[in-house]
Amino acid sequence: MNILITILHENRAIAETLKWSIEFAAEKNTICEIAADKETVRTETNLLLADLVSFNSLYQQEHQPGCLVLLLTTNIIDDLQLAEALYAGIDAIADISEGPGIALAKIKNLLENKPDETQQLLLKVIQSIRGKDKKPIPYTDYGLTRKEKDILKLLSEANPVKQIAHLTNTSYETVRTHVKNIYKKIGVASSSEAVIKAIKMDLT
Amino acid sequence: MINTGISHLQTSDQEQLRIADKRLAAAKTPAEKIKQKEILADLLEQNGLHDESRILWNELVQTHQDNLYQAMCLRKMTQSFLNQRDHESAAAKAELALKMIRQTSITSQEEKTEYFQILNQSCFAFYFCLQPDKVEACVKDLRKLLSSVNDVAQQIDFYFSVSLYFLMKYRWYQLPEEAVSHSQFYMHLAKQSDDPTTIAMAVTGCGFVHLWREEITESRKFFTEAIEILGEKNYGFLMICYTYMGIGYRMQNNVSMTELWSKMTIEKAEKTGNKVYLAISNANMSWVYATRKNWLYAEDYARKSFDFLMKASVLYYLSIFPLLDALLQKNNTNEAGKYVFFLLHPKAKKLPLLLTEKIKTFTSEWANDHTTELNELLHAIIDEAKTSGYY
Repeated sequence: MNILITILHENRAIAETLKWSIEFAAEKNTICEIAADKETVRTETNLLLADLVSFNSLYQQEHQPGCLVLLLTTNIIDDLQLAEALYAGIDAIADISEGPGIALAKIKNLLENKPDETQQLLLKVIQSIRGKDKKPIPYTDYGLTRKEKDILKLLSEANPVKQIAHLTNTSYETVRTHVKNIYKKIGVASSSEAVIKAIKMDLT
Repeated sequence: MINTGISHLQTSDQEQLRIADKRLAAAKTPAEKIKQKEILADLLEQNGLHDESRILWNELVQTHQDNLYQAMCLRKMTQSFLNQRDHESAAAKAELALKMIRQTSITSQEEKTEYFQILNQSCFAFYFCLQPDKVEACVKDLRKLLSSVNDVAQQIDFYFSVSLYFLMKYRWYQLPEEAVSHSQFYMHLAKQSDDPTTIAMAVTGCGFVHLWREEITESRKFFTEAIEILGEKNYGFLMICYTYMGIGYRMQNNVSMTELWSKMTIEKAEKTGNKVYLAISNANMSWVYATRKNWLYAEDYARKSFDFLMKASVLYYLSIFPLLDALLQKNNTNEAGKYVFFLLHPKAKKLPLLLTEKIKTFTSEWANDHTTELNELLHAIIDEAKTSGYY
């Protein structure tokens, strides 16, 4: 079975050199292509490599990627955008400031179904925020239903929507509807804001 | 079956193939048919009819249930792909051969010998597919089996596999003393055989170890010895020696000798259609033109060779440095960034630490789109490459 890796990157030169790096020493069944823009990302893609801006423009609040996603960053990262990408369902992050090494290792892990530290790392960040926040804001439930509270809690624990659907035995579309309702009720516009609010609400 | 596609062979070889084909057709018992099919498959392989040979081995695999026999057939098919320089298919077949032989108990001498041969062959296939973990695993198993192998030719194969392991482990850079003593022992053992190619291969191996330890003069002695052993036979092997003679002179900044050896390689590579050595020599020629500040030719040769080496050789840096210099002359640092980034590939040949640091600094600025200092940083890379002999 062939594996299709698609690169979607604002910087064409970076996309090209990454393509060379993947193709050099790649297995025979690996195909790598560069997508000119978000419309040309093929649905058969098994693994998408994208920079923050391209990824967020492609997936934010519209739908989740149907394939594995490796987010390509440099040592300058916009934290809020990164949070958005994490909650939109990326599977791993690779810093390409020091060459292709990290990205290639992460690609290998993802294709071999090995867990990435991204989700664990995010959980640690959330836990550390919890630890510092000794005075939670007075509890308000914003009129959330029990189901919505469960979903918000799972969101705050760094679970992407498809994972939440699986954990709550609910369809993906239903979870998305719940998420939209949650945003409306608690007065936020993005998943990162929702998570911060959930942490402050102390839903544990 | 073999009447077509053999007209280019010498008459005696054609005759041999026809006889083998007739014997197969005349074979009456199943055992006799198998034996004649094996003979014909080997003959086809020896005469460069790889696809036809593999068809027969594939038929033999299908008709047997015995794991040991199936493993042997798969080994033959792996060898056929290796002979055809289709390393990816060879690696895939080697995996199957390993899987098959591991289904036997590997206790009898026959099983151990087959496993040993498959492991050696797998090392070769995995080496060319740049799969260091698999090469290491094979060498580990080979070491365990070595004491049970008495055949000198197979022991030589083992030492060849270990040489590949060393090259890969240290990424063709600063090989340790252990690799030197290993290569000397390998050469000593090979010299006990009567086969000039086997001896030349081991002598070349010694040359490699010294070359990648930056002991250029020492390496040259071995390459020269290998060339003398081969005479005018075995163009394929001669090309390897010529190429690395050229690289050695390039590392010593000797323009005329690099040009001489590169042109000799190009002549032979064009005759035999060997694209890898043609591309490496073109990379050396781009260096020759770059040192003469003939940027138009330097860039042209560098691009031509890079387009091939970027997919085929861990030595693609040979094209990149002259190309970077040509791009610097045009202040094209954005394009240069692509090549600099690619120099950091973890499976390609390792470069000296100081040079790598400068490459990383440039890459970081380039990837973050900080363009102000790129020109200066690219200059620093080229200067360091020149100082270290890797330009």
